[in-house]
Amino acid sequence: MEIPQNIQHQLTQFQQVQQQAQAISMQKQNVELQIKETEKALEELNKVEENGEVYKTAGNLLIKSDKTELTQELEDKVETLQLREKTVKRQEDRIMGRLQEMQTSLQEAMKNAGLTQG
Amino acid sequence: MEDKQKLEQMVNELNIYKQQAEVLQQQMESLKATISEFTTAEDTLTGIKGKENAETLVPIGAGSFLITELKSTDEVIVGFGAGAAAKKNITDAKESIAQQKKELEDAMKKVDSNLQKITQFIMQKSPEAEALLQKVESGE
Repeated sequence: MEIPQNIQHQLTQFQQVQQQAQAISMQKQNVELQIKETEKALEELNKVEENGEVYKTAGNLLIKSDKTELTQELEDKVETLQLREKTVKRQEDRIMGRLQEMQTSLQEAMKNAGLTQG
Repeated sequence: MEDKQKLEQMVNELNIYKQQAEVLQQQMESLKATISEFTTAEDTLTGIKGKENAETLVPIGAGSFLITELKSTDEVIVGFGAGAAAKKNITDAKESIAQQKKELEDAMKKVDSNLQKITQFIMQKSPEAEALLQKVESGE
């Protein structure tokens, strides 16, 4: 059965938005992972004695660092990542809403064209 | 027509499950590689015991090594992730590595269990889809 051009067009758009949604979901997952990793590092860092030696990576090098400074740095990192997570979540909600609208309109158009599943 | 649509739906479903199985397979490989890294670290920490000042060869890639001497066999630097690391005594370092390795092994068990479920579903559904395909083809 031939699919009408307007429905074909809507389908293409739907698939494009679907891909965008997937990319945003992956971004969110990535940020969530980074938050978990940083929080875990902070947890381990807190176990180190006050005068214990801590290091931070710079490419392949490890640079001796101050525990308080490194802790502050990681706390700031978590904060920045959490902000980023909120932004990505907002983007995800928006795109999911759009996807839902497109799906409804696509189903409506298919119904009108007699293409619904029986 | 109804069979054709059912077949389409089944094929789409099977494709989605196959994609998921591939992703899980990749996760398994990546977890295996990381666990193997942890095992290497454990073996190294065990191997250096009592070998203070021993001549060692440190790999720098391309099959090349630096000739070094072990300065300490009591302490090592252990990474925590997120670009942070700290000096630990060998016992604590081993404990930390063992704990992380266990977490990874638990995660791998979960991924493996999901992969088994998906593979089973695919194996169950594939003959059904095959039969339906034959039915649709013979009906045309």
